[in-house]
Amino acid sequence: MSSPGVDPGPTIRVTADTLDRPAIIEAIEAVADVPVRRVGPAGTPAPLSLYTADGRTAIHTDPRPESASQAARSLENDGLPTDDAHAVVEHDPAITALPVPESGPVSVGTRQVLGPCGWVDPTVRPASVIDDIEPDTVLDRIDGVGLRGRGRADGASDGSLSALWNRTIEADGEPVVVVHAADTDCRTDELLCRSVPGHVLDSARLVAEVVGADDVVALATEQSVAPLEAVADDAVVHPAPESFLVGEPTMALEALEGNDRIEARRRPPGPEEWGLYGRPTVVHTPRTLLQLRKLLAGEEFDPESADPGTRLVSVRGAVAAPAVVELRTDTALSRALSAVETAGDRYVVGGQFGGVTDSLDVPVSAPALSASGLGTEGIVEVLDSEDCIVATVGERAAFAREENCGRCVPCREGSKQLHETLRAVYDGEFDPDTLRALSRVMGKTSLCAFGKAAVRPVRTALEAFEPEFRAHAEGRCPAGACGGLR
Amino acid sequence: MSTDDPDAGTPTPRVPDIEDPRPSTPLTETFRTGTANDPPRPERSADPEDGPTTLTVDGETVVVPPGGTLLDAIEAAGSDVPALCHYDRDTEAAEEIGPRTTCRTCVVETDEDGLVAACSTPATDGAVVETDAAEAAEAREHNLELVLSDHNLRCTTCGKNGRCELQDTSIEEGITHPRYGVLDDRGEYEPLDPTGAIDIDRNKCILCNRCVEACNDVQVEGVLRVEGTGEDTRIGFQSDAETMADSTCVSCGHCATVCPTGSLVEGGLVDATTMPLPGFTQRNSVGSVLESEQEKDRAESDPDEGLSGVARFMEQAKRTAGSAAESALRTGEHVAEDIAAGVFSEGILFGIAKRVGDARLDRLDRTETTCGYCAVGCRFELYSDDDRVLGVRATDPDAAPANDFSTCVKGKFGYGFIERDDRLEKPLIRDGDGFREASWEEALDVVAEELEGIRSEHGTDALACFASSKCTNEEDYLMQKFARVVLGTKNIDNCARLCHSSTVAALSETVGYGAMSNSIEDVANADCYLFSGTNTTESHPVLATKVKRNVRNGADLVVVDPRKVGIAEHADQYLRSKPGYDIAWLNGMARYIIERNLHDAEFVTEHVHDFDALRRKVEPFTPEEVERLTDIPAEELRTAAERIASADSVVFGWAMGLTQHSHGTNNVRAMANLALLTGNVGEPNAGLSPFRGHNNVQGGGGDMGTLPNVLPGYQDVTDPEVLDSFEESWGARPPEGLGLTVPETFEAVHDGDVRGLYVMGENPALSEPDIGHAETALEKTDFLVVQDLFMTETAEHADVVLPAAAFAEKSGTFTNTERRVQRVGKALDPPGAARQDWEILQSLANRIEHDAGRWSYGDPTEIFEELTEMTPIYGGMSHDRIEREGGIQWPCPDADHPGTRFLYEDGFNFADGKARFVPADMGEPGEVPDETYPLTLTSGRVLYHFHTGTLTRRVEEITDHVPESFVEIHPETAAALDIADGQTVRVESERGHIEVRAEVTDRPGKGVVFIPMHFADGAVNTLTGEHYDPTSGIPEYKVASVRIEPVKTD
Repeated sequence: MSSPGVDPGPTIRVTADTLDRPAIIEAIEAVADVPVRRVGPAGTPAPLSLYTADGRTAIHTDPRPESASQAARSLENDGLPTDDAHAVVEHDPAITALPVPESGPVSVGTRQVLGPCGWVDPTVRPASVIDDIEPDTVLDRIDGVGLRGRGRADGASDGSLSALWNRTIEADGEPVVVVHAADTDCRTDELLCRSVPGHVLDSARLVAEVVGADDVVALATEQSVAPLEAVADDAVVHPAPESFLVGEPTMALEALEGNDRIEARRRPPGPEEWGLYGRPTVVHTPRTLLQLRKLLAGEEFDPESADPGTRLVSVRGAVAAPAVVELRTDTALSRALSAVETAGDRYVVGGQFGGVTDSLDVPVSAPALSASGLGTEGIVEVLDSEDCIVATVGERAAFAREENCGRCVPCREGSKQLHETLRAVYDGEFDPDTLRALSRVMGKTSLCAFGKAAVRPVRTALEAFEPEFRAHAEGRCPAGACGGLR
Repeated sequence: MSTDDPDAGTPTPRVPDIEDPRPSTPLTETFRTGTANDPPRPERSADPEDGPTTLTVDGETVVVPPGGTLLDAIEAAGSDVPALCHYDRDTEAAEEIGPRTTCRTCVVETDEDGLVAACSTPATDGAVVETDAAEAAEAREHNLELVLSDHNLRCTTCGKNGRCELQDTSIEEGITHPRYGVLDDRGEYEPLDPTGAIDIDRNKCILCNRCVEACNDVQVEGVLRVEGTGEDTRIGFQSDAETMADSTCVSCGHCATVCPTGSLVEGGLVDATTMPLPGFTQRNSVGSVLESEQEKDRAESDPDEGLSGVARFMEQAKRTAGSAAESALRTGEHVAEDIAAGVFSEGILFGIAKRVGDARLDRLDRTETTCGYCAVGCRFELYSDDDRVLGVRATDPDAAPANDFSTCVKGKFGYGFIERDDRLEKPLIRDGDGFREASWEEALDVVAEELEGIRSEHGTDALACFASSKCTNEEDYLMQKFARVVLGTKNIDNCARLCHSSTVAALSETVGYGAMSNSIEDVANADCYLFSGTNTTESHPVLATKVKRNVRNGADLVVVDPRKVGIAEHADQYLRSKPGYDIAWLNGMARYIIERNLHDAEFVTEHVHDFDALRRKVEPFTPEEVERLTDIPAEELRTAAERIASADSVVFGWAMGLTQHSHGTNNVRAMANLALLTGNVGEPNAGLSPFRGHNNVQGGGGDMGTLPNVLPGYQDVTDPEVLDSFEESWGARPPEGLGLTVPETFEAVHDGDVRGLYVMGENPALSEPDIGHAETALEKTDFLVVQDLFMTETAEHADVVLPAAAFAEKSGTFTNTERRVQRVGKALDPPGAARQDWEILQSLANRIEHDAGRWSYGDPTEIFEELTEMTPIYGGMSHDRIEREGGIQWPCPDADHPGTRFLYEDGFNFADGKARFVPADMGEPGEVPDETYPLTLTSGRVLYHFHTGTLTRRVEEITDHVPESFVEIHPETAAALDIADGQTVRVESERGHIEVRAEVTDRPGKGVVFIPMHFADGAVNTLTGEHYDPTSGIPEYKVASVRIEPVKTD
């Protein structure tokens, strides 16, 4: 009795983030006759090899050909290779998710969306959630729960899915569903596409049923293309250019349309009414799609919650190794740090244009994060004592200045002025009034989320770290990082 | 792509297998504008069923129509926000432009959505809008200053000073010291591009995108695009060109017309409102200037070739001194600018500049007028000083019904001829091989004496007059009156004979009026088009823009033409036809439609005679037979016929390609038959559309009776009652009976029957077929008087040349191709002693013996009053009324009649109100290729020139683009003849030969060559033959047999 993608007998699994996986699998297959599954990344700081038999799994980290073949031989002949295991877990033999040990990174938070990651075979399609559901009822259920979209690449980013779908249903033209897995800033979607592409596309097809779309398109980063194609059926998988801009939903559509210059589209109306080739288009990230699928598959969601469900948080920066953690939205963001080794005490929360803060003591829900001025992208970047706040903010401003699409004045010209005004700090001129004014103007009147988000680093840094700016204007860098100050 | 970044503009391939439902044309598909696929603007996505919207702005309740934006609501409330990049012109064509929503200087606070851009946010019921909320006001101010931060603010040297939207907005918003500065680092400047008719200064560009949208979406030409991202964002070209001159630009002028700043300025206006100090020019201010590839090629060749020794030294010294002087002026200007910038705040600089600009603008004249080139009848404002036209700018939409703000290169830039040194300024009298200047008295006396003399010795039939399709209605009315009652001759005709006489004849027979049955607006909104023999994008460019837009939006277009002309690039079906065999496919379509029962049987039964005769005539023209005769594939013919028959409304459009054949009248009959067969006459967005040529060929070349068989209003010259009424008005009876057409006149000159010829504003020495023969006739006349602006090729043969006024120097009316009578404004005085054509006619009338009484017209308005009394279809018009209403379309029988948008709504122009099928016999060209002359020559026009080029060959912006004649040859034909592109070749027919440059292109078919008609050097009518249509008398310009060989250069 097994689920698609999960073997009943003894199994070895090697996650995709393993260095030189082909060599390791070759080494294993040379000495043992146990099925070896190439599973996707599990979101752990270290790559994993997993040895499973009879309801017990030994979890090993950082597999090497030597150690892996030894463990494989052990599994076949002597039983579970528990020596040197990072953890050993007892579980239901038919478990469809990675077994969670008592402690360690895998035990941090909850593993509902992440559950099957690193466990199920990505090339096998899961049982479809559509089979048990009336598409007609989905809209009401989602509306009742109040489920929100996740990620800046989502058409309903931090907003109501059902409202978005309704606009698509009402709009003229043949709808399209686009799976946007091409954000180069937040690679969580890429992880999900590599681990559970079948789940992602299954959910996308469900959305297509709900809104009446015949076409499903997946826009994917390089690493996600093959895994998605393996389970695509009718869905069209299209490689995305490596571009931060394409993370914005309308610019993703521009890339899909083959435009040779990518810029944001005018709105209103949004792409859910005028999308791909002008057709009503629902754009969702894999993160959103898997939350949706989780809900429809029976997981309990609290309709009273301001942001029902869980959020995936990627922790990176000044850490020994990055990890992806799944937290319930009423959990404090600081919990994510338990999954990594780090000494940092200041953070950029929300990705490239995240908010700068020294406290992660905020629930991982979109409204709570926004109210704290932080980004909701699901990224915590840790800064250590050698990272200068002012330099960090300056780098983010330089990025905005260099990467913006150029369409609108507040962002194109504002980011230049913002960058110049920050640079002037190093010449002794600290002008917080201009910085704040630009934050307001860019933040409120930029055409798209790029410009609006671009001011978050400087705005939050001014609030929490103004003394750092003054110090630099006086010629000092408290982190000791900004060499050659005057 | 004209950027340096090798990665810029590398397209990601588009996603496969997903349907793109948006309509386009084959050509617009290829446009790469570099801009996003924006949703339709609120005005265009509103449901017309929706009611108006009620909302509150700054406490005021306002109502806006469906599709209204917050900006509309703000205006309705009497509030104001800048909205800098918004193109504020309330017309359909203007809606193609924006909202780009880039500048964000229109943001306002709303209760539901916070800060939004008013220009592009739809008004919603119950919305509460605050324009003065603190954050909104702050954002608008900062965004305006952010625009200025990247703008090269140099108002005093800028071509838009005093007329600039950024300047106006900055002053209105009280900007005195932009907090982000301005773009004043000379090291950052992009060089100016003055290579085209428009000066491009990218340092002043605010990236509003109006030019890109005007170019791609209004003109539908696909020249401009946005390129680069971030700070490198700029306006560039879709081709590889670096300069305007090297790009695919057609100089239509739309981009300059819509540009809000001094970034794009018409060449003639760059110094119009600047600080009038030497060196204070936009070019000097910017500093460096681009050269086109052409200019670079010219510069590389030695400029002093041919000079030697001291002369060479002096030339070089002059050039060095010249450039040193330029350099000194430039430095001086830079120093002055820098001092000013250091001393004065921007606010004060704005004030100074605006005052200078306003003062200079006051000294310019702005005259609203109708274009003097083609019959589309565009209207705009001429900016002029005492001596010249400086530039052309758009006028109010209500005053420009045919074109709104659109123009083409000729109407926008074709004015250099007016101020030329070789304008005729004094009357000239023949003196041996040349001329001597004379006074008006003497010249007029000579003309009167000579004409009287010929009349008394040989009779009135020995005199003939050619009216001018370029003169005003008033002047042409007088010309035919002059011919008929002053000279007493029946012989009055004009160049319409050579162009749409086939149309006038055929349409008069079939539907009753020989004119376009519909309006330009109908052409713009047809469901489907059948175009043949019209090179619309080159001959009627502004009209073509409307067709292109409509086809881009989904209308069907079928083009049948021997050449793949520009409009064919947009067609759903282009059928390449064989020159001279068009009756076959026209009848073939009719036959197929009847056979499949696709015709509008009800319409035919109710409204058209002789269906059976038509059916019998077209019976032999099966699709296979048509293919045999014309090379048009049978299946294509069937598809085209089905398309036309099943469309909701069809506009049938044609021009010279159908009319100028020895069976031209039959061609048009066949076209009219198709229109009647499918019920496409007498309703909106359908009809028969001959695209007329000259600015006033419809009025002055037809309506005014300048034809040998009709009096004004197409009244019959053989009808005694008609003659009675003219006798009463004119004081003398017009001669009864038909006079001679233009070709017949020339024949009569050869025969010695016509001895005196008066040519007003026409150039038969270049426009007649077989000009060798025509020139002999001109020489043979006893007396030839030519009235024109220049010593034209015809004037060279004259006995007396009378200097006349150009259209910009006239007041009066022109009638355009859609029967619309429009006012012509006088911007300048004619140069020297040149006079108005009507004044000359009046002076002559009062010198020549006749019974009609003295002429004492005081001005063209008086003439117009008389002509409306005598011309029933103009009956209800007056200069005043035309000015007030922005043009009136005939028939307009009385003052209460509003004019007529399309004809035949209530019946055709026959006593019984029914139209007639006039079956067309199969026609063949007057000459077919043979062994001696194995190729077929067809002639026609190019965009940049007009007709015989007397005006356009004298305009630099035009000759820079098309300096000389050429022959288009298909690559296979060229290869067989061993001819390379650019090589000089000899083209010969039975009539003569010319030498021109070869242009190898697959535009014409194999074995067919094309030569334009605009040049005296390489004149195509040296080759054409005198094969005339028996009904209309039109010559066969479109088919002649020629041979071509390379010119041997030793």
